[in-house]
Amino acid sequence: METELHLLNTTEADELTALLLKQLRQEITDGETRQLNDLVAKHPSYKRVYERINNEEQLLADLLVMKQVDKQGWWQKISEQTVARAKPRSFFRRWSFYVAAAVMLIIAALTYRFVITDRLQKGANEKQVSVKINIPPGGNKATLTLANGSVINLDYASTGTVAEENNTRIVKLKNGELKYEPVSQDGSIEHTGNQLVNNWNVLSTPVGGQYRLVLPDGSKVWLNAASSIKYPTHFTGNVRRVAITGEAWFEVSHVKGAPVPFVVSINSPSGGRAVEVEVLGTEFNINAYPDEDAIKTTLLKGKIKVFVFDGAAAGSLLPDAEASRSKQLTAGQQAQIPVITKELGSDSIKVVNGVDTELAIAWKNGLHSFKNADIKTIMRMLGRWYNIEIGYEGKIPDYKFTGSIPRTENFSAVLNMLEYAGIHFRIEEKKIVVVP
Amino acid sequence: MKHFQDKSLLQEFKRGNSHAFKTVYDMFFPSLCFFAKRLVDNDAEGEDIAADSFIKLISRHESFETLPNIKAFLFVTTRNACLNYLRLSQRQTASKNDLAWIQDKTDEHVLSHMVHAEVLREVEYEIEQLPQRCKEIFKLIYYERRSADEIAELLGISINTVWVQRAKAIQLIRTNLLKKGMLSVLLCFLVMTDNSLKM
Repeated sequence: METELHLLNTTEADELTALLLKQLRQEITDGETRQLNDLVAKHPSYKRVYERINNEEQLLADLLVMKQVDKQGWWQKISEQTVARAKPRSFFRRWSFYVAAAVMLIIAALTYRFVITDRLQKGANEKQVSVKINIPPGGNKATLTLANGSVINLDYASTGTVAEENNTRIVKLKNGELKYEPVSQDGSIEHTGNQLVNNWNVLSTPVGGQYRLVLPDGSKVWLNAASSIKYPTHFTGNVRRVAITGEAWFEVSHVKGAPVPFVVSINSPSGGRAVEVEVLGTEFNINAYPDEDAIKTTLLKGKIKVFVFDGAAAGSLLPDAEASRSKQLTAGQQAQIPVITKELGSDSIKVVNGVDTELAIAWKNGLHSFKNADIKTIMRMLGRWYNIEIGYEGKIPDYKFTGSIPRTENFSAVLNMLEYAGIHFRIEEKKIVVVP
Repeated sequence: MKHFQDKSLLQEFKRGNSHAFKTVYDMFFPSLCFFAKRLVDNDAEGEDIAADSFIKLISRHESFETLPNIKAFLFVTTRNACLNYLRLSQRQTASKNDLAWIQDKTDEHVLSHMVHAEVLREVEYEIEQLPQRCKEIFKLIYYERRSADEIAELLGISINTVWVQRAKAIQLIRTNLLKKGMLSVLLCFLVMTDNSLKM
C-alpha cells in the first residue's frame, strides 16, 4: 500500500535528519558517520541535501529563505479559517479525500510505531507483537501496616480516622495524605513519666505509588514509588527514629525545648551496609533504591550528619565515632554512598558540593527530572513509576539526556518523547525492551 | 520547573487551546512552507498549501497524541497536496516527460526536502535560543552580512566583543540541542505555552 511504503521511508528521513544534525554539532560517532554515508549514497536527492547542509554559506542562505514567510499574516488567515467553520468545504481541495487519507496515515503511523518498527528490526519471520500500550501514570497508592500486623489498603480507605493506636489517631486527610495525631492532652512528644510502648507502623508504596505522611511529631515525609517508612506511632525517649527503603523526602520539625535528634536508618538494599542520617530540623531527600548504584542524601536546608557503619547491623543506638564513618552536610550538598564497595573508609561517603537540588526533589514536585542521565537511569526511574519491566537488547545508545517529564503523562507519551530523541523500543506485555 | 507540571502542549493542543495552536504553528510553519515551496517550485502556491495543511491540522486537533504525529500529519498532508497540485497543473500542459518527472517527486526526492526543512527548523530553533546579545550579533553577521566593524559601531561595543559573541553563538548552537535531545525542546515549548497562558 502506498501509505505504508511512504511511512517506511519517513523513518529513513528521520534517521537522516538526526544524523545530519549530529554531524552539524560534531557529535557524530564513527559508526554513525558510516550509517550517514550509506544513507546518503542511497539516493542522489539525499546527497544533494547532505551537501547543501554541510555548506555553511548555503545553510545560512537557506535559513534566510525559510524565514521569509509572512508568519503573522498567515496566522491571521489560518485563525480566521479555523474559527469560522461555516464554509470550510469550499476552501479545501478535495477535503474528504484528505481526511480519509489523514486518518489512514495516522492509523498507519501508530501501527508503524509499535508494530512495523519491531518487525523491521526483528526480521520479517518473527511473530509481530501488537500490544496496544495504554499505561497510565502512577498515583497516590500505599498500604499501612499497623503494629498488630493488620494491613490497611489506603487506596480504598475513606478519608477520616483510619485507625487509632497507642494514644495516636491515624487520619487519612485526603487521597495520598496520612497524618498521625497525638490524642494525649499535652500533645508533647517529650519523654513523660508514663512510658508508652513503641508501636511500629509501616507505610509502603507499591511500584507506581506515592504518599505523604505527617509523623506524630509533625515532621512531613513524602514517599516515592516502591518505598517504605517504618516509624513509631508515638516518639519517646531522646531520639526520634525512623527507617526507610527506596526514596523519601523529609521536612523534619524542630521539637520545642531540648532538641531531640531525628535519625533515619536506611535499610541497605544489599544488606551489607548500614547508613544513618541524623538531623535536628531540616529538609532533605534520601534516594536508596536497591537498583541505583549509590545511596544519595541531598540536603536543601539546615544541617545533617550521614553515618556509615562497618558492621552489617543497622545501629539501634546512636552511632558512635568508633563504629562508623560520618560526614556532615550543609545545604546544597549531597552525600553519595556507593552500594557496592569492598572496603569501607571515610571515603565511602562522597560529598558533592553545589548539587542541583531541584533535580533531587523534582519527583516530589510532580516531575521526572534528569541531567546528563543515560537511558538506563531514566528507564529505572520510569519503570518504578509506570510499573513496567525494562529490558535491553543489542547495543544500548550512550546518549545523555537532560530534561523533565511531568509524572502525570501516560507512558506512551513518554515513550514517544524518547523515540523522538532517538531511543527505540519494542513493547511486550508489561515490558519495554530498548532496542538499537 | 513548576510551570508545566500540570499541562503539556499536547494536552492543550488536544483541548483546542489557541495558544497551543500558535506554538505548534510557530514551530512548524516556516519549515513546512519551505518544504512545500520546494516541492511545487512556486512560492505563493507553496505557502497556500502549507497554510491549508495547518487548517486541517487544527480542525482535527483532538486526534493527535504526540508531536511526531503532528509533524507527520503536516508533512504528509502537504506532500499530498503538492503532488496533487502538480498533477492538476500538469494536466494542462501534459507531456509524458512531465508525468515521469512527477513520479520522481514521490519518494526520496520528497523526503530529501523534508529532511532539509527539518534540519533548518532545528538549527533555526537553536539560534532563537541563544542569549539575546549573542543572537543579535549572530544575526547581524550571518543574515545581514554586516562586518564586525559595522556591528561594533552599531551596537556600541568593541570589535573584540563581536568576535567573542560570534564564537559563543557558534559554540552554543553546536553543543546545545542534541545534548538535550528533542525532549527538552518539547519541554521548552511547554514552558512557553504555560507562560503565555498566564499573561
